Amino acid sequence: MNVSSIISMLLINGIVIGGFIYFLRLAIQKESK
Amino acid sequence: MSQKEVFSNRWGIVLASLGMAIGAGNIWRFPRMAGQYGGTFIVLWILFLIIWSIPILLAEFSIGKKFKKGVTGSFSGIVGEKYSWMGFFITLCTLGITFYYSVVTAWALRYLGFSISNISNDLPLKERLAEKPDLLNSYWNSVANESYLTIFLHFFAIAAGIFVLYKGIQKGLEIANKIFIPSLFVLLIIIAIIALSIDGGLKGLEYMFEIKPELFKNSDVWIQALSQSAWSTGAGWGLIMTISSYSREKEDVTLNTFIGGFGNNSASLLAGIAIIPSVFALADNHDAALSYLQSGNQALTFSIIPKLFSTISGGEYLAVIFFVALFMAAFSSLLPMLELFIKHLTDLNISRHKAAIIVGVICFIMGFPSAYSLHFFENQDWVWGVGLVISGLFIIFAVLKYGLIKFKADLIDTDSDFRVPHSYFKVSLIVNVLLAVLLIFWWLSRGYSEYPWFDKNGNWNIFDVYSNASVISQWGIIIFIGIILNKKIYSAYGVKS
Repeated sequence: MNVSSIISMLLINGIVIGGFIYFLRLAIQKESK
Repeated sequence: MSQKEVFSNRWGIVLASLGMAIGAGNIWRFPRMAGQYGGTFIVLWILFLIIWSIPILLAEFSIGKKFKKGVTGSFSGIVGEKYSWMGFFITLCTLGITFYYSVVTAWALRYLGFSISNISNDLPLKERLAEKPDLLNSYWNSVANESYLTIFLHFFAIAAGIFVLYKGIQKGLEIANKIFIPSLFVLLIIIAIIALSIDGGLKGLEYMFEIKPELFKNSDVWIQALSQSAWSTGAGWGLIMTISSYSREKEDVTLNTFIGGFGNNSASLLAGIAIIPSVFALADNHDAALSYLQSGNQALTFSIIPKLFSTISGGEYLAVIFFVALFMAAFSSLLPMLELFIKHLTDLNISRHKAAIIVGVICFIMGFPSAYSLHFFENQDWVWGVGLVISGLFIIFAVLKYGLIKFKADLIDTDSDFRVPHSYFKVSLIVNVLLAVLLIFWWLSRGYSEYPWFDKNGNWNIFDVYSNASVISQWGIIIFIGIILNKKIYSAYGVKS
């Protein structure tokens, strides 16, 4: 894989899947309070 | 009053939102688009999640939560009597999709059966395809046209959906989603890992995430990214409005909507990582891989996967996993569609059990033509698929009529754990009006039909699958009936504030 594809893959997955996990964690924290 | 059912906790509503959004479009349409246009498409698709889908989903979620009725009732609660017909249109538009969506579920079941039969067949599919190259096309024709087995499975999909919803929200929908959604993510991750381990799979990944700046100048990429986000997240369908009508009193609007939106897009990315590397690894060459991904019609959608997977050892098992995932995605989206209809009957004080059976019978009858004829299916898919943008416009209209900032303060921010900025909500909804007009104009000007308005004899071309005349006529009939019956609709469903 070329470097630019690797960077964009990390960024895109970071934003989308990372965002999903972040919002899920936030909800888990709120629920456990 | 309808029975006061609610989700047992936050996860019930979150999983229902994910089940609603993650459908067949995530598993195949997204990989096709991402395969064609690469990272450029994905960047724009994320942009439209933020601009188009999330603001509309926020509006829908908060309206359903506030009024606790079906789409027509909740919508009339926010816009008042005069515009109740708009809620009627949103409902009928989504019902138009529901009637054929069970057929998609039936196709997934047929191909699941086909994939299972390939495991037990003495002659591998690869060899049968060498003897008879047209095998998959003729199988597709036997599935999509005049097939009694497909009609039976269309009935089965509806009956299974009704069986789940008959039990209610907590004991039916909530339990089904607890099984389907985590399983779906696990299956997608399994296919993705296998796909990436095939020789050449990384080439597909490289292509999928490559951002080509020149593609940003291509209007098709922008339109496809917007269409994908609009269809895939369920924004404008009224489904999240139905789901949130069962929310608890203090349910969080903003955080749950963000989980739903980002969860839907995560499932799409996983599906892309599963499918695109497989296509690149198993196709004969780079051009063949691209031509697979650029094949737009339903036949190729269902035929390519068995063909590709037949070329590797153990591929028949992979095909089974793929079609199980496709079935789960389609079925978990069918459930809230059926529930949207059921809710309209329980709003009329019909018991859930009775309503579920009535909905099952009506959906079977109304979906029959699509199960029997691919032409009818394609027409309905086109008419109501495009109609969703009108539904989205009506939801934006409701927010604007109420007052953008007031709406956000009164309905969205009240129980939200975190708040989006006023300016984001305001600017994105206003931009969405322009986007919606642009989308409709673009679709109608694409010329999918040879005679978009009048046939060669000068007659109104209503019976053509993709004609604008057919689209406008069917929308027009629903809007006309809605306006004529507006008073009756409001008196039956209206929320008197």
